[in-house]
Amino acid sequence: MKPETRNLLAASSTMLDGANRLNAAGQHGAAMKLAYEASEFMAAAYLSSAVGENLPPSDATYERFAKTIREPSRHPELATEIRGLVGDVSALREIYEPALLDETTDRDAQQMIDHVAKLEELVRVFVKNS
Amino acid sequence: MIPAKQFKQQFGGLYTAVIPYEQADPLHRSSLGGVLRDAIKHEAKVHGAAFDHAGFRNVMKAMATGDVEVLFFAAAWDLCEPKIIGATINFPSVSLERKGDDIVAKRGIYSEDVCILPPMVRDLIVERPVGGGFPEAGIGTHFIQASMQHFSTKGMRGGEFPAGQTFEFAPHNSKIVRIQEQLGAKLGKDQDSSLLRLPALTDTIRDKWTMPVEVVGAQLPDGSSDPNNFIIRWAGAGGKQKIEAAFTKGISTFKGTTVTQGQFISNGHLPDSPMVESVLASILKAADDEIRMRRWGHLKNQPPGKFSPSIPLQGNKRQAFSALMQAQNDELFAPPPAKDNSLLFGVKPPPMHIHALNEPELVAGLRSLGAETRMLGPNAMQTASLDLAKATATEAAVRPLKLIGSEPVHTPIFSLVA
Repeated sequence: MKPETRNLLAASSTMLDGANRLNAAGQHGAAMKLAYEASEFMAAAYLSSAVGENLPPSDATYERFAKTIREPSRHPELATEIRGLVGDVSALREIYEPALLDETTDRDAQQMIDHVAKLEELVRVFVKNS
Repeated sequence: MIPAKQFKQQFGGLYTAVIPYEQADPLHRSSLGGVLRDAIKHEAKVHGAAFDHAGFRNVMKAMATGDVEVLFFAAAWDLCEPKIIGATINFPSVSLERKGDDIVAKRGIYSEDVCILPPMVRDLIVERPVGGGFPEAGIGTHFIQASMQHFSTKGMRGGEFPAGQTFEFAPHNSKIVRIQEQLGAKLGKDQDSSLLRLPALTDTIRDKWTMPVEVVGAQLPDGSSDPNNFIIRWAGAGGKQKIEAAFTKGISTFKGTTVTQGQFISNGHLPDSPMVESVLASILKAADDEIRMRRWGHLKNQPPGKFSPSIPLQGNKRQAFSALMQAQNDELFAPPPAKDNSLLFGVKPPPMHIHALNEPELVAGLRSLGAETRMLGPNAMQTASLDLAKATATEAAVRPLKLIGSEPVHTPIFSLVA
């Protein structure tokens, strides 16, 4: 695994752990924000490994990741699972609004954290094998 | 509530449909009204703008009369449990396009708002079956495309097919920018395009030399004049230079008050800037007169100052008296009603939002006349347009708009019918 990929994945994991702690402490909006950002680090990690590009974690990078990981030739054996998980995280990112973070509930934040964590697990498998 | 045949199953298994408000049965319209209120409140908060509960009733009235066309978004993994997950609010408008050295007017649509409700999407995620997946383009893009397809293939409420769509967007909102770029929209940028706001005619506008302009109405399919749209045209240099503007009566969905949407365009051949300013001022002055005649700014378009007193049906005298006293107290402390000069001077026109896409000279001219950047909450907004007919490959269904002479069609200002 490339050092850049490892670092990005480590950052993503740390952010998800932090999000869980924040959510448990009642800071649901901050937890949601951290989980949202973690998804971009995870996306950058995947692209660093899969296409060899070191892109900064960002919304555009996540979109590129969502498109790339779903390409039929990439992971045909897990195409259905990828479609489901990536679609979930993409939908959660779509409804994410910084202006509404103060309305985030424990359940909402946990949903984002859990789905990003599941997708991250999948990404780890792919980058480990690449 | 929603016939199963209206749904289409997408790749990934999600069933989706767009439902026009008027197609909903009466029993369910009130629940749709609730969805719409939630959607508008959500959008207001996202944009940092205020939402007026009383003004929302104007939006509902406009929906019932067809001045506003609302499409609701429905989605389900299981057709036994469809959810209404959002809505889009639109007004019939006019689409002005350059065609060579000419400007062509066609029926258009002004898209005021698109909203997806987060709690509904969260529920869909929880309910997603194993093996299922959301549309790859994203939920927002999917439903915007479905709405475009609906209007392009089924037409608007009056049976017309819109050629173009105009809307405003927040340039800092990268999600929206990405969605619209995917759909092929032309997004206004920097100095070449602007979305401007003109609360009222400025002294600078009034003081400019008046150029002769032509006011034309838009004809509806039944032959009558569209009360909510008109066009003003100027031509110079023997017809080689053209500036035109289309005006649409819209509604601010957050406040429930009338807003005029103006779309300005040229044929690319313009006189010198002092003359451009005079032409723009003349168009705005003529529009101001026309809007007064059409009573777009009538007080009845303002949100009600207070709620009606709510008297308990089964209440005793004491409870009824208490409710009336409370209403009276509200009246005492409510802001004074706006002065109504409608019988003498026509009604005060509503504020205007001016869209000028890829027209740097017109933008500069409008700013020099006193128009300022349109802000929504703390955010500067921009204009955008979409060639709907091209995007949905339905050019054949679109016809040029029939225009009605130079006679303004309006309700006389001395009418005793308020």
